[in-house]
Amino acid sequence: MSGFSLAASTIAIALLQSLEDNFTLAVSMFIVGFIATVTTVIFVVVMHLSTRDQDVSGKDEDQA
Amino acid sequence: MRDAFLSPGVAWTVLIVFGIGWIALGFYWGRRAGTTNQYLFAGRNVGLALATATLMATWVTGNTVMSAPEQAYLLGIWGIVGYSFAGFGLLAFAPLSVRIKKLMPNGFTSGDFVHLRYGRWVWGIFMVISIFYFLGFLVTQGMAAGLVLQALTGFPYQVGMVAIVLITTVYTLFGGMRAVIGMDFIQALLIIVCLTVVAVWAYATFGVGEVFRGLQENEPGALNLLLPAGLLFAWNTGLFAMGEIFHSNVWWQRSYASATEVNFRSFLLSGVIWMSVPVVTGSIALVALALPGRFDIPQVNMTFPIVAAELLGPVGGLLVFIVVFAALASTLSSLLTTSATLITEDFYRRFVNPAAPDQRVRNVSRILVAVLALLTIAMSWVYITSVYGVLLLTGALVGACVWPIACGLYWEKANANAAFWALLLGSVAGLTFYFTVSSFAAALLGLVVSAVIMVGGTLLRPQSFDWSTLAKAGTSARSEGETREHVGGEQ
Repeated sequence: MSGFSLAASTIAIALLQSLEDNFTLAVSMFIVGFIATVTTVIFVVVMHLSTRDQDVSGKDEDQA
Repeated sequence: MRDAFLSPGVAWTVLIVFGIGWIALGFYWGRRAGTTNQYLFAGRNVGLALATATLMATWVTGNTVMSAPEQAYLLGIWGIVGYSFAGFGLLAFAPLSVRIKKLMPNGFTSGDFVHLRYGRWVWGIFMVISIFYFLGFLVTQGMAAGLVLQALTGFPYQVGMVAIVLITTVYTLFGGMRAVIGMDFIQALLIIVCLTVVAVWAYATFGVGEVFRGLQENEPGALNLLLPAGLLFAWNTGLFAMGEIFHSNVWWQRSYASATEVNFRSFLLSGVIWMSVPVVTGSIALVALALPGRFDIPQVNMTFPIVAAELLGPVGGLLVFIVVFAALASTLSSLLTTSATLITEDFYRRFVNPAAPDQRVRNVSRILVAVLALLTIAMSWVYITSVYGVLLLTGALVGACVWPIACGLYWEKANANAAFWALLLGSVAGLTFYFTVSSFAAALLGLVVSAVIMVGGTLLRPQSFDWSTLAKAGTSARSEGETREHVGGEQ
C-alpha cells in the first residue's frame, strides 16, 4: 500500500470513528439509505418494464 | 434459572410427533423425486400457492422470531419498522426472478449466472461471499434452535439444536426440494395461525392503549423516531435483505423451481405477507418494555418466547414452540438443500466431474446436505451471545452483491471488471464500517460503494454481452461433450 493510500485510509477511519454515536451520522445514513433503497427499486422496476416491453414488441414482430 | 414453559413430557411429545410427521411426509414426497430436476427443482413447475408459501416460510427465520423482537426491545418503534423493511428483499426480487427464469430456464444456481455473465474471477469472489453467508446463516439458525428450545422446554442447548437440525436434515435428504416446498406450505400455515393467535391474545389481555401509556411512562425512548441507532438501523435491514436475496441460491433455486407465470406474483405476495411477521413478534416485545419488572428477560433475543409464554401460559408456550420449530425447520431445510446444490453445481460439476450422470449428481447433493448439517451442529455447539450480530457481519458482504447482480441481469453493457471491484471494494468498505463505526449500517455502505463502482465502471468502459450465453446454464456451459441427462429428462 502506498504512503498516500495508507494516509487516506487512516484519515477515513479516524473520521468515521469521530462520527460514532453522532446524531448527524445517523440522519445522514438514514437519508443515504432511503436514496439507495429507492434508487435500487427504481432501477429494477424500470429495467423490468423495459425488458418486458422489448419482449412484447418482439412477439408482435414475430406474429406480423 | 427460570423454569421451562413447557413440561419435558409435552415438549418431547410435540417434538417427536412433529418430527415423525415431517420425516414421513419427506419420504412420501421424495418417492416422486426420481430425477435431478425433481429432487433439486421440484419439477420446475411449482404453482402460486406452494411458491408463495415456501418463499414466506423460508424468509421467516429464527432471526425473524428472535431478532425482530430483540431489535424492538432495543430500538423501540424503529426496531419493528426497520425489521419489517426486510420484506423489500422479496418484493424487489420479484422482477429479477422473472428475468432469471427467462434467461436461464434450465439454470441451476446463482453461481451459474455469475460465471457465465462475468467470468471466473467475479465468480470466485462471489462464491467466497456466498459460502461465508450460508455458513453464517446456518449457524444462526442452529444456535436459535438450541436457545429457544432451552428456554421453552428446559432441554439442554445442544439437545434442542441437534434435534431440530437432525429432523430437518432427514426429511430434506429423502425428499429434496419437493419435500422442502411441501413442508414449507404446512409450516407457513402453522406460523401464520399461531402468530395471529399469540398477537390477538396478548393485546386482548393488556390492550393497545395500556401498552402505549406504559411505553410513554417507562420507555419513552422506544417511541422516539429520532433515536440515532434507530435511524441507522432503518434502511440497513431492507438493503441487507436485498443483498441476501439477490445473491443467495436459496432464492435463485426457488425462481428456477417455480412456474414462469407465478414467479412475479409469488415473490410479491410472500413479501407483503412476510412483513406482518416482524410487526407481530416485535410488538410483543413492546409489551415487555411497557411493563417493566413483570418479565425476567436474561437475554434480549429471548424476548418474544419469554413474553408470549409468560403472558399466555403453557398454551402460549406451546404456540411459540410450534412457530419457532416451523420457522427454523423451513429455513434450515431450504439452506441445506440450496447450499448443497450450489457446491454440487459450482464445484463438483465444474471441476471434479463435469459429465456426472443424473443419479450421481443427486447422491453428491445428498452427501453434501448431510455434511453441511454436521458442520452446522459443530459450528453451533458453543453459543455466541448475539446471534443477530453474527448475521449483520455478512451484511457487509452481501450488500455489495446487489448492483452487480441487478446490472448483470438487465444491463447488456455491464462491465465484468467493474463487477469484480464492486464486489471486492464494496465488501471491504462494509466490513470497515462494521468494525469501526456501526454494525447497523454495514450493508448500506457496502451497497452504496459497490453501486457507484459498478455503474461508474460500466459507463466508463461498457462491454457487450450476448444474452443467449446465459441460456447455456444447466445445458452445455461447462465443457464440450458434457451430458445432462436430467434436462427435460422426465417430460
